[in-house]
Amino acid sequence: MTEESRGERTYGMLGTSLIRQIERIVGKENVLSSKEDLICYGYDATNLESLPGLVVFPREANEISEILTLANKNRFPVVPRGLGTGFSGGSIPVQGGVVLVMTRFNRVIEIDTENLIAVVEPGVITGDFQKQVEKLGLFYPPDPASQLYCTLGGNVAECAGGPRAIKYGVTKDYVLGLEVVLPTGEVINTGVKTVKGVVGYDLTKLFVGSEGTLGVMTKIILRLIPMPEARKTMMVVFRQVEDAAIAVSKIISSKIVPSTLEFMDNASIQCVEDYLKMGLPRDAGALLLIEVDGDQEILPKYINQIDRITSELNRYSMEIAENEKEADALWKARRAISPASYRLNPTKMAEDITVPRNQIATFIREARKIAEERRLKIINFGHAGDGNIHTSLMINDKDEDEKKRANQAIEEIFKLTVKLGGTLSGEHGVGITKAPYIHMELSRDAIEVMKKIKRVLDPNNILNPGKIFNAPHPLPLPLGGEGGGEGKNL
Amino acid sequence: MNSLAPLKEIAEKCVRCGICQSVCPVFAEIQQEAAVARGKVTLIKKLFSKGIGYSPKLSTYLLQCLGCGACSENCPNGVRADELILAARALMVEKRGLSLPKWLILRKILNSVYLLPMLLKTGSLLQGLILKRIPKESGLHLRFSIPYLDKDRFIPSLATPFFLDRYPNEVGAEDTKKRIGLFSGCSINYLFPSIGESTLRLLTRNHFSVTLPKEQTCCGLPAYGSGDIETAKSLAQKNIKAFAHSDQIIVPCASCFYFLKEGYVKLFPGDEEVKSFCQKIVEPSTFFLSLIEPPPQGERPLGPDKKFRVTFHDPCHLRRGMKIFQEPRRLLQSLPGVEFAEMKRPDRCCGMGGSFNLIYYNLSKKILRHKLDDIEATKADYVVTTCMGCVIQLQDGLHQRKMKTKAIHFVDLLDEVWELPRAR
Repeated sequence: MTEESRGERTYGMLGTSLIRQIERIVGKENVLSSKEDLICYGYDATNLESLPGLVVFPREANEISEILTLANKNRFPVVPRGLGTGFSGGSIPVQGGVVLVMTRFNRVIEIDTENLIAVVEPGVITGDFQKQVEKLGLFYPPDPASQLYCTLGGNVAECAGGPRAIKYGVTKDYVLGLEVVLPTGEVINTGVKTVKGVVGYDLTKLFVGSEGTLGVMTKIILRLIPMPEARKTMMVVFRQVEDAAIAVSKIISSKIVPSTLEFMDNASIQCVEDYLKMGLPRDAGALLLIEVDGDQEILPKYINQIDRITSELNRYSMEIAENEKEADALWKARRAISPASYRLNPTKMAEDITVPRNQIATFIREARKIAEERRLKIINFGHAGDGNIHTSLMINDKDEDEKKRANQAIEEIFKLTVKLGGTLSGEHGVGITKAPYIHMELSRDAIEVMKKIKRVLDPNNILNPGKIFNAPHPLPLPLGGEGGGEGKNL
Repeated sequence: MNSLAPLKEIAEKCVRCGICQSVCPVFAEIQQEAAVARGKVTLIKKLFSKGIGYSPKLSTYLLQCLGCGACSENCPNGVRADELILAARALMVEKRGLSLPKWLILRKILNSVYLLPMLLKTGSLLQGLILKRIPKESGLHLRFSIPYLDKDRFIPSLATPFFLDRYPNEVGAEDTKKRIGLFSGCSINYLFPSIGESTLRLLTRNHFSVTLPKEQTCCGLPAYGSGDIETAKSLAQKNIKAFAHSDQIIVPCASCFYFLKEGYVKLFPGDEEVKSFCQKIVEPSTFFLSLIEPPPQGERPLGPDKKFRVTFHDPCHLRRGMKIFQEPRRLLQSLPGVEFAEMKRPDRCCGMGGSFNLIYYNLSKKILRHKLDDIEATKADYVVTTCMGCVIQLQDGLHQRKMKTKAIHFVDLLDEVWELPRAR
């Protein structure tokens, strides 16, 4: 066979002998090395890419352990990856090396209906797992937008959230324990299979949200809760964005905890209306999509209270879905934001800042001012219930000047977020996209503690290097492209 | 590279969110990025930016797609990955030419009005030598495995004589004003003449006179799907000419139908003659539904005592390609004796994908497995569909799993139970 017929080969920093050794560990059929395949494992849902040297699909913890041991001996990076749907570049192999695709770890090992726990492997798709437990009357609430095509391992590594976080919390609130292969190859178990457990440091929490930099998870113990009996969905449209923000605060302070409290600003509404023409008022300042769940009997009480609170504000309308189909129709607007937004401009700089809930109106007003001063298009939507706003700049990335203005605007928006007592990332993680900014939120000492932890667990900086800390310069922003550090635009 | 601009535009729209991973039947089985739309779109982008060349590896990945369109249907940004992949296959052929077997089959045999029938006629005489008849079935098994064909595979037998050879150019009432052309396609002509005959009976019973032009040929989809635009165009021209005098042309196979109606316009953009040809193309469920009054609500037409349990499999080309899925159901549900049972995911691709099934037979069978599970759960006597590719694939699967359910074409069932049409 000619060289070409096998596909072009680029090993990056891995030599042929290392590749042979890895093939012996996992089996030849579980290793990809053609240039075409490497390209396919160099990206996630950001606009960045960086080629790995090899793509490996392990099936057992000991295989991962052997690969990591080999990596320490030969100093090549290893980057764990699920289905590559992250928004911060967490699974992009910015320094090449081996991409460890965890999708063959796809077994739900156990669902214990007596103790309400489940033991799963990290490659299980979140949505599949949810369906499985729901058949048993149980509930696994974390619901990132990509739940049908992301893995539980990825969710744990990034501590994914979702609309239901307002009532049910995020991924970390459901992880009881882990089996982890450490960067140096040892396999440890953390946490418990019980509701309580305080023996030793809480290593589970340390690994959750560690973005694949501290260990490779091979088993996850999850907490489940009973499935709520019923759910009601409603949409309330307001004339002023301030009214929507007041509504959020009043609903929460009235001791109702909606299971979802989604928010769309005027720009998002206009965008969706252009796209779907579903009859939303174009001059509306904002809308809220609210869901309440619980026992059948209690729902009317919640709905009445929400009705009373919002009717006292400058409200356009309130619509309550009578059934699943009507609820779906109400969700349609919220779900359409992503595709609709690309009608404004071809590139989206999507952030996921989070502010205290009573600061939402201030944040949106100020963020809009920041964008307008720089002649940029901005839309704000997201999870108002927990203050997690997906503030997105829609820009034309072919326009260098606009790109520069957008990067400035993002920095200003981050400053604003921190000033309001918020955090730079609610659920996407730092990865590489937010790495340049963490000093805005974390003190030097705090960052140093984190780095020390990383050094203790991974002395040779093998596992997912170049993430969270030590941002490459110049900054690899999602649209940074040329010269943007190691990560490059496609 | 101006001609690439529209394709680049499609590729640019992909933001690599990864949602296609949740709907791609190929990805569900092999779980590799190059199998799914996001990976393929990225590779095509790299091809455009000269990051990679027209490598055999890329060709393999481009062919590893059923063209079912599920990715495009579910893409939030409306990326037509299916079209992009087809276009890339064509570029591949343009740059590197066809492989020898494909060149032989597409350019020399399929494209020849004489060679294809001649070869197949010889084949129909000789098929007993390498194939053995499966008792009580209309299909065959290989006596031994050959490249591309598995020994256990259910192979439809070649018809003797071929469908188009059985009839004159015009069939049916001479006095009628209603004339309709019948496009047989390769599979009906050479493999399943009974489906052509059913269509013919249904039409003549409804007082149509039917034209069966002998010059008609393959619709061209297999060539188009392989990136061989030249052959596809040549075949299209032959068909357009053959049916020049028909007012309407009925196409029983959903894939042929899709290509005649939608594909030809793409082959000859802006050509008015082609456009008017495409407007004449009809498919059986819509066509026959338009002939009957809507059945009375909640009341079934009187029919035979015999009851069939029937489920419908949506061919990708009909449902996603043409958005036709209610018509066959409405007609089936109005038929006497038919008890309709919807399967779990009727629009899930059966895994045939034309030559995909030949190149990736084992993968194709893995994909089919889910479809068979869904069919089995309905306990149907018949799984009805309108695409010949689906019929062949389902027959193979049902036979190998030894299921009682039979896969039949829509018009066969219609012909069987629709004895007394209430024609308008």
